Amino acid sequence: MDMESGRIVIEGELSIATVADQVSAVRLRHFLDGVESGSFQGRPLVDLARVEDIDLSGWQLLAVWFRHARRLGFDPALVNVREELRRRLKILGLAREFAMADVPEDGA
Amino acid sequence: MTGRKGSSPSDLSRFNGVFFEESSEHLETMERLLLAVDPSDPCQEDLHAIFRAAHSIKGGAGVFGFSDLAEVTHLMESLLDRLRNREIPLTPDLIDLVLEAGDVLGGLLAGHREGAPVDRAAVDEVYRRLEDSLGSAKGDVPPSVPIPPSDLPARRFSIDFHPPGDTLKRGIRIENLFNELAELGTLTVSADFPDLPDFHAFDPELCHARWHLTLEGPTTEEELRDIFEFVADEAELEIRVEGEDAGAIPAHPPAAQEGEAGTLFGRRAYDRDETAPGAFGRRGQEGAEASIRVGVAKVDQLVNQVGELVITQAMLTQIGEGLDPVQFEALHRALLQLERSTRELQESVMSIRLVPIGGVFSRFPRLVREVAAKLGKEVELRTFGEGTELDKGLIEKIADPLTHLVRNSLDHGIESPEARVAAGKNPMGTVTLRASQVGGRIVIEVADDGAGLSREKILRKAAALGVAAGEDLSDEEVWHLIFAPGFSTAEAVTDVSGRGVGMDVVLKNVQALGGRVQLASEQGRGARFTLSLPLTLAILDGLSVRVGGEKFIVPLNAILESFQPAADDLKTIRGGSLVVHVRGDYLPVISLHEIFGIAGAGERPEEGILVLVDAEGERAALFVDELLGQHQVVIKSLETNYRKVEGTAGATILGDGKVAFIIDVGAAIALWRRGRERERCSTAEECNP
Repeated sequence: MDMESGRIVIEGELSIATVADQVSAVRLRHFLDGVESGSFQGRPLVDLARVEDIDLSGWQLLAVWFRHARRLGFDPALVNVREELRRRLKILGLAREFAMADVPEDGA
Repeated sequence: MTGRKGSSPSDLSRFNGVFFEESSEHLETMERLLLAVDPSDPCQEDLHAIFRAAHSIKGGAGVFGFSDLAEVTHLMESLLDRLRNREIPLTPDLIDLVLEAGDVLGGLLAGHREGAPVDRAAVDEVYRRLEDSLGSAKGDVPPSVPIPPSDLPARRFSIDFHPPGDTLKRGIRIENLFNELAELGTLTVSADFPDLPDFHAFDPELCHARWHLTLEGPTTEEELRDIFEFVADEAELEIRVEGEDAGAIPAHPPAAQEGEAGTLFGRRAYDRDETAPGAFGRRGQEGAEASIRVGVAKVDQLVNQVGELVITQAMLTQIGEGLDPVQFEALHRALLQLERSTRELQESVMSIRLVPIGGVFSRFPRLVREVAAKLGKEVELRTFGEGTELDKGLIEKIADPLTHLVRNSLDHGIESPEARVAAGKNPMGTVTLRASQVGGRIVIEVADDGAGLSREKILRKAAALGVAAGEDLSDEEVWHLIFAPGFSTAEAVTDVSGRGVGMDVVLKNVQALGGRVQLASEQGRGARFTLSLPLTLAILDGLSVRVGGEKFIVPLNAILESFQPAADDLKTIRGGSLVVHVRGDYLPVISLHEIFGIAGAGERPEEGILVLVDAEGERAALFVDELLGQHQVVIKSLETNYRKVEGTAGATILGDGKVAFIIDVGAAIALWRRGRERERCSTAEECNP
């Protein structure tokens, strides 16, 4: 997590098998903690460039995080969402839950 | 190929159990139908049913994320589809290939279910051969079968899907489900999270989403529900047809956009006309008995608890018997009612564990086909009594002994076609499996119309092995020599049988189940093995008898009659054995106090009672002091709780809280016979040690 850029990088698998203790979930939580303490004012970006797999469980986690962030007054967005993940979002009918932003992958 | 994507929580196995069980049933169905199909004139309905079985496995594998299973069944299904559409001819080689693919699927299922090692080489080989048969390039997934014209009108379906919270924990991939839907037409999906908790209270393992979907395409509501078969019940799925007349909608669903919906787990257009009951593995609801799956451990727990209840009820009855029937009339009535209700409850609970033996018999058509082919023999398998029910525990344990016996019949019993013709027989031999319930026991016969056992060969082999066997042995005694360890009269060791391991194991396994094996043979006419098993391992109707200060239970189904003999009817024959004359027959009198070493029992049968028993054709009279009464008793394993006691089939707890041995009549007769033999040998020089 980079509090300056507001970018949270999700890595590996975000699925039912891993989501409960996945480090990404911890990162998301820490980010919100940071936001709530007032240390971040920009646009939170969730970077999926290094994601291997996301199932519904993972998408739900992101959706609840997005809603929470919006309630706090932020406008979060997904970045580096490859085509396969976009298709999966669409087939699950979840695309409207997430804003997407075009930010080049920078190896964060 | 890969296995399941990602690791799964350990409790997934609980939810996957239904899929595993149903897939196993589908594999059994496929195998049974494939073995019965005539390649020159296949029954179209059977081909459809085989296809549907493969399709159901594939659908479930996709939903639950078992990609390796889905990949193999995908190819298999494509092949079966072409076969049923007569695009390619059904040949014995293709039947063999699909059977082998079924074996591979069984191995993959076992791998996922039990962690059993999977023969990856076999998986790859079958995969390659299926691909070759489909004429596809290696490594490519074969294209979906072209969509045939459909008479079904295109309709617009509105689907509300509210999956249960544990959906994700069950390993279900919702996207695979929707991909399948997408192949039926134009699909739009909209998800909603009506009760999404706050991030800090969020449980990511629960499914919080609900979906509203619309699908336009030439399909049926039944087909849509089939897709949700493993996922949602009636309350969680609502499907409405928005309009019957949809002339503006194209007759065929548009091709999915590239990558929009993968074909691997997809339901293809050829499924649309399936309307047969059970299509796609869906369990028929109309007219079929509703059922639920319950773990065997739960049923066993129930059986044990009811067993304890029966013992308590017996204790209460015994206490009641000591109370004045006039003064305590109401209590006596209530105890009678309790006894009736307990018995009914016990019978109901025990019936839960009973399953038809047809499940075991169904494995033999293939075995016979393959072994006969290997041996160059022509053999027809006939089965009777597939609906005969016996305890699930027995079913599982009887399969191996039966397999040994069938292999033995094929290898040693049935002759070559040439030899049969030379003997004036039909070149095609017959192996018969027959199950029936006789009294309180299950009798299973494995018979063949082969050459029968050779008395000379067996005696020769016995002599070579140093087994005591004289020429004066009866045929039955000679036949039983083949149950000796290491005994085989096979001229050569084959990979079918003939290694001398098997028949002794058969006997041991059957005896361990409280069963017995009988053997009849006629030279040139064939041989028949008869296995007699208890109906259940848990309860027994028995007659309690007193011998000295001890009580025994004699199984009711073994009892022919009981009577007090007149002194004139009792004779002592040569060798000191006592026999009783019963309507022209002389039957041995077996004193239970002698074989079980009980002091203080009566010595004169004419002052006690003889209980006439029959152990699979062998009759004898058990000498006891007194008949006490008839009971339904709960069998407790002696070996588990104490140690094996020869001549008994376990023990039970009586109403007074005391333990009583349950007599195994056949074993008791054998025990008595061995005792007489020892006595005879102690006075005769010709006996072997």
